[in-house]
Amino acid sequence: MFEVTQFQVKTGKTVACARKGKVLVALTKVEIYAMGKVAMYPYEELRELQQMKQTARKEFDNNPENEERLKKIKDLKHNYERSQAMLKAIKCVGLADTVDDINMIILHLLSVGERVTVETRVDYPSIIEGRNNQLKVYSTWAVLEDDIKYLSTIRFTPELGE
Amino acid sequence: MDINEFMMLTDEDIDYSSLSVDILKGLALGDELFIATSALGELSRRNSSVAVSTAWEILLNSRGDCYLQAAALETIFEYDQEKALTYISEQVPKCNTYILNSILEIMIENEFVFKSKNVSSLVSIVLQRVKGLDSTTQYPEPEVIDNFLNMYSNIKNTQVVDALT
Repeated sequence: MFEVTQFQVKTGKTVACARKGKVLVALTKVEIYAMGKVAMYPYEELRELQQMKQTARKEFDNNPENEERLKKIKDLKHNYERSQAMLKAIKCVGLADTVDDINMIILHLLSVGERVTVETRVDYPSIIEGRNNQLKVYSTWAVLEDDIKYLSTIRFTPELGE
Repeated sequence: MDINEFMMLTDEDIDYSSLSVDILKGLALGDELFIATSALGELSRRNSSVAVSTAWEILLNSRGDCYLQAAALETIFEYDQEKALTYISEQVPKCNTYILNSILEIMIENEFVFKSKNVSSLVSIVLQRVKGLDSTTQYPEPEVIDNFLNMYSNIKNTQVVDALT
């Protein structure tokens, strides 16, 4: 399978990573982000603030915290929806939120990382074979000191709405 | 701490309120899209001019994905409506449907802006796009479409014609 190591960043925080040679993949980027597990945003609060902004604008504007909170919840929503779309793309090709499939995706990414160079580190294309279709993956990598390659982000295509 | 090191963390691990404007800008334009979205949000609460220029760079270069670009459009509309309206009028016929969802939400929340005479043609173009959507599309959300049509469909008859001629 793969080795799991604790990678320490300068804040002192440790990040659990799958490791293969000089390639690191943070487990949460697959287990949380790609599996639709980013926390749901406060839906009711969002709707209430939007309704207030729409129908009671003076009252809404009187408290600047309303706009700040609305923007904050929308940002949470964007991240939630991105995570949900990733899970949907995974399910579309016949994969699922299971230990086996998560490990298979991580192994794929570790192999991709071995091929990435400084020149090709952004949106490196690859394909994961699902049970009933292929999942197109674009991964972006940070190349750290000592040529360590660290997965920054993954995108699946097509994105919803395209 | 180096920008790359932040990107090793997850979005939830980062206290954005403790970061400088420069770091936030770097993260908003960075590769990690969950972090970029949150960093742009914090930037917009902190420094409107840097937030607008960063958001504009995201839209102009189609950086990231539709979720980050939707956040960028919301930021620009908050601080520079003219720029946002120009973007919307140019992009609405062809934009990603998730971004269209954000455009409709902006229009619902800011009815007074879009019912003013000088942007009525833009409303008509958006109405045309909404009417032409495939009924199976996930976005815009049904509730958002309903609210939008309730608010704007009464002006469509005269102005759609104007917009198309």
